[in-house]
Amino acid sequence: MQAAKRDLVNALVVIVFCGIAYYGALQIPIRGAAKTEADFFPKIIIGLLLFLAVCLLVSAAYQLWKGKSAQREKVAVAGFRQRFAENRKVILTFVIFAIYIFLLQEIGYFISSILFLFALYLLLVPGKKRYVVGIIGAVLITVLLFVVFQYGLSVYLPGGTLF
Amino acid sequence: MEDLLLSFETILNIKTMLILLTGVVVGIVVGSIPGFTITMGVALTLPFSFSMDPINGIALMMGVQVGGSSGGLITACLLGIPGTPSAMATTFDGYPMVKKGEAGRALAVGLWASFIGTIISGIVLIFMTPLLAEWALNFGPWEMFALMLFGISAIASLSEGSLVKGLIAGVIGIAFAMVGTDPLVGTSRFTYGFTELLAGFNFLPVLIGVFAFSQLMTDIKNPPDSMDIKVNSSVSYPILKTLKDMWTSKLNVIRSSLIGVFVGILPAAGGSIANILSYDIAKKFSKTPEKYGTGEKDGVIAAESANNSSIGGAFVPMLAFGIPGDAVTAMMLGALLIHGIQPGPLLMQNQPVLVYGIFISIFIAAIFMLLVQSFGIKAFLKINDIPQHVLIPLILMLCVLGSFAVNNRTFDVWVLLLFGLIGYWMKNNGFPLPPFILGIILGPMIEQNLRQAITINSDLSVFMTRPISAVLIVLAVLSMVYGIYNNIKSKKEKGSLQSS
Repeated sequence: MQAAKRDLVNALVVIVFCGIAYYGALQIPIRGAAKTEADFFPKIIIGLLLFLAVCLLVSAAYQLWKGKSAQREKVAVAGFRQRFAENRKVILTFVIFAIYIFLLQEIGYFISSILFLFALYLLLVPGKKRYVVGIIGAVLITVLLFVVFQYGLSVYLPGGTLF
Repeated sequence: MEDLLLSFETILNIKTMLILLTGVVVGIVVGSIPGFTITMGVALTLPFSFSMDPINGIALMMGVQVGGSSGGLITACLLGIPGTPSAMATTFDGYPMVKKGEAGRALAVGLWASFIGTIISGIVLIFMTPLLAEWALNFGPWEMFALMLFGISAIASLSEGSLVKGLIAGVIGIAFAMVGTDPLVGTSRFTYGFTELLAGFNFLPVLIGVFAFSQLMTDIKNPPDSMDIKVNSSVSYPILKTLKDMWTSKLNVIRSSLIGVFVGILPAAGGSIANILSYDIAKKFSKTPEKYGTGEKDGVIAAESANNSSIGGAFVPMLAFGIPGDAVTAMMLGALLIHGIQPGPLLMQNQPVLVYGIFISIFIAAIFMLLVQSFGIKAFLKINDIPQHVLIPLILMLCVLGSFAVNNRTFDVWVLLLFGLIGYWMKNNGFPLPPFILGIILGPMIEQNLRQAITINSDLSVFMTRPISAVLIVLAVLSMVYGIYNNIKSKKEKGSLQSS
């Protein structure tokens, strides 16, 4: 039941994706210069994807209907809070990561990377948090990777106002 | 012959040797950490290959792949947890052997089986690739399109979970590959106002996002089991006794290696399937099948020789047709494309030194793997002492810097995040990742061949009147029928399990 519900949502996500992609396909300029235009292949692929998403939707709906009519089991649907609690660390990692990318282009590699690594340490370390160790580790990793990439691989990392 | 000698010259220099050795060490480390996969290891080494020559870049990734395939053996035996998914069947007998006090023997026969498996697959690769490439030279756009169609449908039907989800994953991959400038008429598509997307999504942040980033998120959500390795017996074993063990199991080694090569050649089926399939077959052929699962060395040998031999197998379609045999070779194909090299039937003619170099690097990587793992086993056991809260941030940083390094712009790091999210969503909802990656890599080629075929002749029946194309399309359909059959079978099995 739970899996079928998730698949129902998954199918809807894919259908929305098809909608966005179809909107994009309509914006493709037609030049009339070739036998197959630039929107030829995308329209086939979007159509195929939509068909597959509908198959998934129908199959999930059927499973759901079968499950309900048979009344075999009553699975408690995880509430939003419970889901958030289960995925708290993952969600926070994604958020911290997005903030990091933003800061990377705004204040440069050094400060943003130290903050990012320290924040992740605080989030992931089980038990007692040792702040000094966390900060020293973050600085060391940041400097080490800077040396490897900038001097070893000639990748110039984004600079900030201070560093 | 001259090309072969040139290849030896290209490979047999200190720099390339060191790169290969580094790759093998990284591979064994990645392979031995439960929760980390070889694909993830290769994705992370990809950025380092940019500044290298194509052959050195491939050698680095080859080292990671060969090392990773055997590194999974360490935790599979000592902890009963496969270090990588392709060492699953190794746990069946490896762990009981350790519990019986035969840790050294389990690790030694596993390592030698990995070594022999890699060598056998390298030999098959050398002989098969030129033959298939020559045959594929006669392919027109119809055959190439049909071959890629078969690749995607096979990967979708052989992947875990439902066929529809596998196909959705593959088609979404193709959809993302359409972003950028149209390959034939040059108009921009799906860029939604982002000029950075005119060249399409770069392979690298996409691959790192889908494989490494999403894997790290999964590890954060479900941390791998305790890594406390306590072994009650020595982890070393005399080499002469190991060779004697291998000799008594020679048929098993050869059979399992050939199974691994065959599975590797099939699009989609990689080390994980080879590992389990050859274990099953070895058990069926055994005179004492009841011993399997209780600490039988032949179980470890079958599982380990097959997962390593699938490496060479997976390279066959990649080098001969330009179609990767699994997710790791898909990445190597991406790496070659980044260097401006188009794998396919012409590669053998145009870049023979590179192709022979790849062949040679497999053998050298196998030798390094044998030496490094034999002498460094104790050091690799220590790797598992590094806590996840140190490893995960460090690897996330490598993901960021690797993605940034592609074009020196933070836009690619946003792409990494986007595909990390997509990969995580797919993993958590039963959409297999390999078809997605194959879709992204093959998407532009599928489109180009289809449109070329239609431009030459708009009659679609040509796809069925040309014999090779027709056979491949029939194979694509058959693979999907097989996928449907498998889905129904597994649903029935689940149903009967629930009712009992």
